[in-house]
Amino acid sequence: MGWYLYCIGPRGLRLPGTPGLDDAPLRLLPAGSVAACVSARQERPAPTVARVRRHHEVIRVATTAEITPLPVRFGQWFRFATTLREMLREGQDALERSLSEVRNAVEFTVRAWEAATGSAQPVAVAEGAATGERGTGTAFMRSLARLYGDERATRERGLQTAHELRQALLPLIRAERVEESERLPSASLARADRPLVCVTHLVAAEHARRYLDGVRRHGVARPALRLDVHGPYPPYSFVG
Amino acid sequence: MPLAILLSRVLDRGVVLTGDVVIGVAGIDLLYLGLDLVLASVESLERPSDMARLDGAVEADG
Repeated sequence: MGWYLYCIGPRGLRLPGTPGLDDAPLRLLPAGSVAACVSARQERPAPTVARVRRHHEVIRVATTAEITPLPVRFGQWFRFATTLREMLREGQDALERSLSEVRNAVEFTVRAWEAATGSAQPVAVAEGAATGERGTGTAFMRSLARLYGDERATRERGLQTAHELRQALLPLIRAERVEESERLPSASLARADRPLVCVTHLVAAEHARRYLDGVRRHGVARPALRLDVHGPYPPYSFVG
Repeated sequence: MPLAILLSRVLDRGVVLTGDVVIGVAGIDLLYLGLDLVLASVESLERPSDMARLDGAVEADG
């Protein structure tokens, strides 16, 4: 019998009152100063949306006012409990540090968008037709250079947006993770708005309301931007 | 939680104790396609009717 891992907490971690993947009962596996929330499983689970949702739900329910467990990435299965215990003991110091860093904290993600202007693709034929350069490749290279220039400028505006957001919310932010526009999901490019930057902040749970209010005020003062804020979530982004 | 955000967190972030973790969802291999592309596909399926279809499809896969 193997074991599927959901989250890791201190020894005081309580058993979440919810079932695990495929309705398997949860168990706590103590190891040194930490404990893992697991369920028995014969084999590594195939990833499905339903299982991903259940994995997240276990972590959400395991989080209490006293304990913020470390969310574990989906798909970690151990053939033997002894292997898992050994890994937990070996990583105990780092796990304790992570537990301390995210204690009583949640994370929020803010995505900043700006109105897209012009084409995101090089347009050699159309420009060549207008300038008489059709077929030379010059128009294509110029439009390609302009495209790269646009991307660089978008990236810089994104980083500036992240900086301004940080300054506005600084007293409330414990940690930050910034994803530049070029790393955002490509589906976003099909929208009317262009993604500028995606910022994830670690915030004390007691300051969640103040943080949301601060993001909204920041967005209202910048009508050229659209700020989408998601959260609060368990601190997935600050435990890896 | 929107599905794309859920997947990006649960599949791509969080504590990793073993290198042998999930490499795909809904039959799509993240190792070759990259998580961004998977999210791009999933974002377009976030409407409720499509979500039900996706859940059914991946359950069948799983």
